[in-house]
Amino acid sequence: MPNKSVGESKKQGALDHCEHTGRPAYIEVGVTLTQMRPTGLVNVRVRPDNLAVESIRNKLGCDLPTVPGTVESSSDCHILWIGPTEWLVTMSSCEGSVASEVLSAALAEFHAAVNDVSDSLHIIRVSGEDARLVLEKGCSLDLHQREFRPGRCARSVIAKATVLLHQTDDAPSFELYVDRSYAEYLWRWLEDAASTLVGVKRQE
Amino acid sequence: MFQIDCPFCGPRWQVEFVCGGEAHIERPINPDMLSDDEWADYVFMRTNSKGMHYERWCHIHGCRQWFNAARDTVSDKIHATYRMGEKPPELSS
Ligand SMILES: [Zn+2]
Repeated sequence: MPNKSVGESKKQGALDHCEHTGRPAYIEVGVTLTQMRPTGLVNVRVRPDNLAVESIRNKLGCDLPTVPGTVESSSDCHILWIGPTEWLVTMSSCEGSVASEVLSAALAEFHAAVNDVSDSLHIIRVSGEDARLVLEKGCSLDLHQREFRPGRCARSVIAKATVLLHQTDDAPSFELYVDRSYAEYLWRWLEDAASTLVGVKRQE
Repeated sequence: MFQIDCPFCGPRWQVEFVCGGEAHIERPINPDMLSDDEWADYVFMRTNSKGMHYERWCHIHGCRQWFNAARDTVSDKIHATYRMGEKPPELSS
């Protein structure tokens, strides 16, 4: 019924057609790949002086992390450190356009840039006891738990794709923020990396 | 694996960085007064040192910040990295 879809503006994810290709590999290996559907992603650039940090805290109930590679979180928001004057704000309760309005209002008095990047980034969650093994096949970051823990993030390269990586729990789970055009490539690379671990495990 | 010590992020793999050429080249404050030779020197001429070389790098796939590095062009060893605006450390190769 072609008429039914007219007027509907259901957003399609770049990975919607990939999720059904699940091979048993990553169940056996102890890794689950999931396409995440965040609502609002906003890139913020501002000099993090006390007044700017306070203004964001008042609006979002969340601090701007100033320690490199750390994440501050509240009930519906994460703020990921990208650089000394740059952050990615993720909101689970509202669309990017609303989130960027909230942040623009918070930073109206400051020399700042606020950009809604919700549609330009995709989030792939890599979770399970073997998640580190899979990521380490293409990423040079030291992800060992003595170095990298929940609440840490890093922008780096995984299998030649630029990725912002955020560890969210001790499972361990990692959320990979990747440019939309790289999302399918990275997804397929992760599937492949997980499937080759099956052989490694069977040899043990 | 070649690592570069980003002044913000710490040691990272070299593929995360790009080199931006020689550091500490200041734009002339009196451009109207320069001769063609002086302009050519500012725009084109670089030291091409054998040994210690001060250069700009950007952590393009990381924190996106520009910084400076002192690299030995013979051994490729990076002796120091420091932030923009900071004075270069005294080093000899
Ligand atoms: Zn860096």
